[in-house]
Order: sequence, then C-alpha cells, then structure tokens
Amino acid sequence: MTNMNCKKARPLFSLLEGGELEGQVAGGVREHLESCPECRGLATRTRRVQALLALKRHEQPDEFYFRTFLSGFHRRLYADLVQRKSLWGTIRAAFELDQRAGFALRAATFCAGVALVTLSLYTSHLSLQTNTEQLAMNAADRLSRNVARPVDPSWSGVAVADHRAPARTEYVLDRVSYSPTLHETAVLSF
Amino acid sequence: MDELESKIQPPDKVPNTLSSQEAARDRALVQRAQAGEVEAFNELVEAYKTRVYGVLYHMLGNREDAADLAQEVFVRAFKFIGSFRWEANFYSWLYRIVINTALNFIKGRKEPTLSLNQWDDQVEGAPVMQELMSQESVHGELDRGEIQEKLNEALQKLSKEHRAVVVLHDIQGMKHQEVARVMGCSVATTRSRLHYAHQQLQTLLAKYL
Repeated sequence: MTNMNCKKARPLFSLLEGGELEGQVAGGVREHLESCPECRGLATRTRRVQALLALKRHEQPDEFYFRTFLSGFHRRLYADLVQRKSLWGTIRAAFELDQRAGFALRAATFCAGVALVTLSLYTSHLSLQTNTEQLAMNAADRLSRNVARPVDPSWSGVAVADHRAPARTEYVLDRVSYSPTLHETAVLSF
Repeated sequence: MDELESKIQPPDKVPNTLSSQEAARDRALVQRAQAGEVEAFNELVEAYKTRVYGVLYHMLGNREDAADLAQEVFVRAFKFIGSFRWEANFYSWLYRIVINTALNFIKGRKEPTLSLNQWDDQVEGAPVMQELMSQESVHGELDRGEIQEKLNEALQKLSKEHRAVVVLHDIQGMKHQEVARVMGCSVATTRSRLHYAHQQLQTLLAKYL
C-alpha cells in the first residue's frame, strides 16, 4: 500500500500487534515502519505500554472474595427487589438517583403538588365568583324588564318601546308597495 | 520489522474471545434463566464473576468499589435478562452493563482513591517486569510497588472513555470489533481512542519505557 503515511499508520499499530490487520493494509503499515524511524520508535513505545498494561492481569483479589460472591449477589438482589416495592425506590432505581437526588426530587414533587392544588382552588374560586356575579346581573335584568315604566317621549327624546302592547309582527310584504292592478307586478321597495 | 519484533516481547494474550462451546453453554443458560430458572443464572454468575470484577477493578482502581459494583452488575443483568434478545452474544451484553455501570460510577464520584490488589507471583516472570526491575531510577532500583502505583495512577488519569478502551483491549484482550460493540461506537472511534490513550500513557510512563 503506497499511500500509507504516519497519520494513517499510527492508529493501526495496536491492530497490527494484535494480529487484526491483514493483507495490503498490514503490508503497508510494515513497509511504513521500515522506512520511518519516528513511527518505528512510536510503535516500540506503544508495545512497551501494552506490555506494562498487561501486567495488570496479575493483580488479583483476595481468594476469599470470590468464595462469597454468589451469596453476596443473592443478598443484594433480595434487598433490591424488596426496596423496589416502594414507589420512590422504583423511581430512584429507574433514574439511578442517589439519596440526595431522591430527596430533592421528592421535595420538588411536593412543592409542585402544593402549587397545583393552590392554583386549582384559586381558579375554582374565580369561576364561582364570576358565576355569582353573572347570576346577579341576569336577575337584575329580568327584574328591570318586568317593571312598568311610564313612557314620555318628550322627556327622553327617545322613542321607548311600549312593552304593554303586544308587538306587532312585521312581515316583509308590509314594506312592499304593492299595486294590485291587473297586469302589474308588485314593485318591491325597501 | 522482524528485528524490531525480536527486541520487545509481545504481551501475554488473554483468550477473551468466546469459543463455540462457551457460546453454546451461554445460550442454554440464558434461555433457562429467561424461563425463570435461578440456578441457571447462578451458573452464569460463576462463569463471569472474575472477568466482571477484573474490568471494574481496572476501570476504578479501587478493589472495594469494584467488589461492590460487580454484584450490582449481576443484579442488573438478572433484572434485564428477560429483555435480552440475542442482538449480540451474552458476553458482549454483559460487558456493556459492566462498562455502563463503571462509567456512571466514575461520573458520580469526586476523587478516585487507589486501592490495589496484590500482584500474584507470576508477575515476576513477565519479561517487561524483569527488564524494569533491572533498571535504575533516580532514587535507586525500582520496586514492584512503585511500578504498580505509577501504572494505576497513569491509567486513572485517562478520561473514562479512553480508559475503557484500554481496559477492554489491552488488559482484557478483546479485539477492536468486540470493544466497539461493547462501547456502542464504531471500530474507527475505538481505534482512535486507543491510539490517543497510548500516546497519553507514553507521556505519563515515559520513565519506564
């Protein structure tokens, strides 16, 4: 592979070392390493780092630890299943909250609940007040219409409808000037 | 390249890819566990407890935290095994739970505290250890404790994502594709993270290289 350069080759060193590179790409990296002393040095140091990291496989826990692992797992599982029966335990487990975060969430939920109840009480109070006022206005309106009032057009200058006499129904034809002569059609005028 | 290879001994390869026998065993056990058989899940715990603990220990650098979280991982695996649908093998699925548990724990903790397990006697035979022990530092010969401490300090200085790829690839011996599957990223991302992590470790461990 002739277009291998330092930038392309360097991330591939660990793949080459682990046998995960094959064919042309592996050949290209090897060729590049032969021709680039800087990359060769880097590859050497990378292998040293990997060799050091591999030493960590020799760090082993106490032999006793794994003997009690299964029983410890079952104790924890039981405790977790029992805790999940509570609502807050379920929420905490679902969101992986620690105790402080769980407490903050509970406090926030409580305050939100109080605010919601207050708001709904206030809203219903307002609506009750509005309904009461409306009822009072309707009653006053009905009362004012049923009381007989003397009509004196000169006094008010405004023609007041006489509610004592039944209103005469008006028909459209009343407005029509109709000449009932033969061979004449009615002339409509509004 | 042959001359170069002969100078540095390759690290011991831990066979961490599943054999077909192990894969078949896992499939049978998982199916029984999904049917509600606790004994089958116990067998899975016994099969994977060492590896799960190992990943957590190397990620956290603290054996007590690793011990605590290892059991937590299996509790989670037990709770969610019903939803496991064989999109990957059980081993990759379990490791994903391990890595996510470790990453969440690291995110939540303030300062890492190193609490290291003892190296077993086989470490003395490792070529790189023999070479290091024969070197002289500024203060005299290096001792095992110092090497272990510096190595773990360097690993803890990496970001948690870079540390995860190093732990899975260089310590657990997983291949790039498996690491990418566990981490939920592409092979190219895994490769670049590993390369960057190696560069950082080279700077931090320059004295020992």
